[in-house]
Amino acid sequence: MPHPKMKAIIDILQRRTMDDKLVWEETEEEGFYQIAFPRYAVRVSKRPTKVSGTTGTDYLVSIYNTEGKLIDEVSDLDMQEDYTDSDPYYMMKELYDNARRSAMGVQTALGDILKNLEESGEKEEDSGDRE
Amino acid sequence: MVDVPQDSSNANEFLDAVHMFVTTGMGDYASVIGVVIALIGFYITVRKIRRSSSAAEEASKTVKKLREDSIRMDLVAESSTALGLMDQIKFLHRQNEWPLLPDKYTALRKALISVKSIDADLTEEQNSIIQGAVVIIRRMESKVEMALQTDPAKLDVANLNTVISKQMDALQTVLIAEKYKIGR
Repeated sequence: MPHPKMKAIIDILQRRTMDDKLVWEETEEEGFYQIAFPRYAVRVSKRPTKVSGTTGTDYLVSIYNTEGKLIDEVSDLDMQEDYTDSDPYYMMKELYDNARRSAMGVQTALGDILKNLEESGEKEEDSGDRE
Repeated sequence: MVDVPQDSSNANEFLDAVHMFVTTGMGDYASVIGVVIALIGFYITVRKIRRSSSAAEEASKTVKKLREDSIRMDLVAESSTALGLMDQIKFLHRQNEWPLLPDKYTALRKALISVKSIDADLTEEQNSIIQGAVVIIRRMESKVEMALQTDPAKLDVANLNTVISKQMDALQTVLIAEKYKIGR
């Protein structure tokens, strides 16, 4: 069954997360990341694949309503029909990875480290010039 | 006898005086004085109308402000209840009092939903913070309920309390912002 609206949501979430426009948060469940809107919330997660006879990972997107009840959930396997020109597995994996980075504050950490490295490099150059 | 309002009779006198003044050329002194008196009366009437309408507007603004403040006070009270429950939940986590927790989660979720349902013109960001907390608490409740059927000792207290603390910080920002608006 096609899920055009879910595909649109996944695409927008992926694009806006990559652009640092959305901030995800950690949840009570390790490996689950959440972003909330005024009336709904979206979670991304992963699980061992349900495809029998294979090992691997399924990526999931779940929608929760105002009361916090799960109202819809799709895995990359459910989205095969919607992604004709790309692979939903890679799309949802990328969304998951970016959501995790956002929730863990990876971009901020990398920015800080880079800044510290640049500053310490500048100090070394200054002291080298003085000598 | 028809009870003519004072404001209306002042206006009529003024118009009569003007009419008389115009139709009799320059008019006599009496009509000049009449025009002046009518003009003063008309001026007073206009001022009274302006004052009463601005007083009515002021009263309406005050009532609106009081209503908004009362709504914000409800919101602050519900948010404080939610924050108090979060503190209790963290304590019960540390004490491993798992059977007591599902009721606390339910009470917390209800308090958060009450905060959201109060019509306090919360921003999208503030509503999103509360919505996020509702989902997290509901999922935490399910997780603890399931663990109660198997082995609650496997629950990661540190992680659960870290998540609750983050929700408390976020809810605190909503509470402070709304508290600040009361009486302003």
